[in-house]
Order: sequence, then C-alpha cells, then structure tokens
Amino acid sequence: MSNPNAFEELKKILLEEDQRETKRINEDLRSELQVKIDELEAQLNDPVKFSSKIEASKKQIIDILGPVMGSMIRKYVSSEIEKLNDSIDKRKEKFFGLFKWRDKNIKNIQQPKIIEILLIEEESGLLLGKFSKDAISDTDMFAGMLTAIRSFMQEAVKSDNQDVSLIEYNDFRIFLHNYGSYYFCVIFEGRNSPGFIAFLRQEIDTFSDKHRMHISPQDTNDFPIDQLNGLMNTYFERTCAKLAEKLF
Amino acid sequence: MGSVGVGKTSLVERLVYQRFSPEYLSSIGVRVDKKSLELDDCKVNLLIWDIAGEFMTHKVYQKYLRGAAAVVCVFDVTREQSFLAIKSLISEISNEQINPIIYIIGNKIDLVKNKAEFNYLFLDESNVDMLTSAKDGEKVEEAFQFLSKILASNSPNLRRV
Repeated sequence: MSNPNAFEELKKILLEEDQRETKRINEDLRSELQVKIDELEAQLNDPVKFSSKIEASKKQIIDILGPVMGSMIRKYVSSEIEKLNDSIDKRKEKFFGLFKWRDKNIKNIQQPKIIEILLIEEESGLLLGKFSKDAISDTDMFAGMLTAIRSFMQEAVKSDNQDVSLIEYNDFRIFLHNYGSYYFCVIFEGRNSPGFIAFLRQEIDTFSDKHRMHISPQDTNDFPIDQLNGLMNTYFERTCAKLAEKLF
Repeated sequence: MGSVGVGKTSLVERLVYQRFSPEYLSSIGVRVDKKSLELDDCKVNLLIWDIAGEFMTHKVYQKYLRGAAAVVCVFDVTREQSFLAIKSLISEISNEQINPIIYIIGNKIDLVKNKAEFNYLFLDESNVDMLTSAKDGEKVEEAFQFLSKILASNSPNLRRV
C-alpha cells in the first residue's frame, strides 16, 4: 500500500539542502539590502547629499522621468488646449452669433428712412414747402442756412454747374436735388445706397414734373405754401410707403 | 449789409433770438436768422441773412444778395466812411440785375449825446429810413416793422402762407 506521506518525505530529502541555501541567500540579501536602504535613507534625509545625487544622476533621471513627465506634460498641455478650444468655441459661437444677428438685422438698421423733405427756393433760401415725418427744429432757418452754405460752396469752387448733392452729419444725410429756381432737400438716416438715391431722384422728378406750376417761384405767388405742403404730404407719404416695401 | 463794426449783427441779435452759431459769420460770411412780426392785417416771417462786413469785398456776398426781397444797409452814424461804403454798396446792387428794396439804417445813435444838436455833416437824412441803437434797442423793432410793412405792400417776392 502506498504511504500518503511518502511524497512529502521524498521532497524533504531532495530539496532540504536547496531550501537551506535559499534561506541563507535571502537572509544575506535582506541584510545587504537593509544596509543599502539605510544608506539611501541617510542620503535622502541629507539635502546636500540628495541634491548632489540628483545632480550626478541628472541624465538618468531625465531618461527615466522624461517619458513619464513628457506624457504628463502632453496630457496637461492637451487638456489646457482642450479648455482653450472650448473657450474659443464659446467665443466663436458668440461672435458668429453676433454676425448672424447682424446679417439678420443690419439691412433693417441701414434701411434708409426719410425724415424730412424740404422744397427750397434756390436764391432766397425761402422754404416753399415741406413734408415732415419727424420734424427738425426750424425748417425756415435750416432752409436759409443751407442755401447760404450752398452759395458759399458754389462761389468757393467757382462753379454754377456743379453743386453739393450730399451732406453727411452724424447719423443723418442730406440729399440735395437741384432744379433751376428751386431745389429739394431730403433729410434721411440709414444707408446711402445708389439704389436709394436713384429712387429718391425718380420720386422727386415725378413730383416736380406733376406740380411744376405750383412750385416754380415765379408762378407760385398765388399758390399758398400750406396747399403746397398738402400736395407734398400726400405724394411723399406714398413715397415712404414704397420705401418701406423696398430694401436698399 | 454794411461795413465792419457798424452794428449789423447787434441789430439782428437785438431783434431775434439767435440759434445758429456766430462762427458761421466768420467762416462763410453769413448767418441766417428768422423773425416773425405781427402787422395790422398779417404776419410776416423775415428770414434775415446777416452778412459779415469783412465779406463785402468778397464776391460771394453778391450771391447772398440774390433772391433778397430787401437789403438792409447799416452804417455807423459816427463814421462817415461807413455811410460812404453804403452808397457804394447800393450802386453795386443796382448793377447786379437784382431789384430788392433798399432799406437804410443809421445805427449807434446812442453815441450821439445831444441828438438835436448833432451835426449830420455827412448825412442826408432824407436817404435814411431809420436811426437805431442796437445797444439800447431804440427803434430796432420799429425799423423792422416798418420794413415789413413796405415788403408786405410792395414786394413781388413774398409768398403767402
């Protein structure tokens, strides 16, 4: 019959010597290691020795830590870039959002709006008639002073054939459309596009053709200004309505 | 119109409330003011172009006179030279193919201490429409009232409101 402890006994006989040797080696290593650890500990606790050790092992440290640190740095930089990208994206969103808003609204903002149309006698600067959407302070004085400035400029540039046609002042623009003995002055705000100016010229020419006999100073002494104002109001109200439907 | 220092701007300032900057006078030589006057049977709106005396020698002043229903010529009653300048102005206006009413005002009458004894050596009073003092306001309103009446009855250039 087999002995159940036979294997254990065999193992003990065959490996006893090796086990003793292994134990001895372990103890030797442990004691050696302990000495080394003590030495190292002593060095680490001594800042002068530690720093000189580091200094002496700089290249090795870099070799060892480089990849680790590089990876950490890359990770940090990448995370920071990500944060920056997020921030840029948010700003871009706001910025382009503004552009979108602008695109949507800018045409409305810049859409020209007529404020006042004055019909002024060329030489005297007397106001012959007016159409007001949003009246300026004193149209009589304005008409007189505007005529004086025009006269001055005509004399300054020595030309009766050329004339001022557009004056810009803050948000306002003053378009002047000249005839022989009278001229129209359109005060408007918004964009001064060629299309809008062409539209104004067309509207004014049509009114002028239709009512020349009431406008022309030599023919109008019997035509009261109030009636001319009425004609201008009716006509240019329609002009404003047309303008609201167009986009310049 | 009138020579430098005869009191044109003072007369206008005495008459109306100024709204345009006085800088216009020195820059383009004119400033436009407005005065409404009630006459017996109507109201007259005067648009007054105050032309700087310095611009009398400038060609642009002729442009400023075009279309005027009346030209108010002002001189200083104590300066003969200013009166002679008026005479010269009037003859120039006649050459300009414009036909405004010429209205002559002798200003600074306050400087004449004793008006009764004042010797208008250079002055032919029959040619002067009104003697005024812009300083005291004497006869200023009356001068323009009188002018407005003349305009209302004579001027072909008036527009009915």
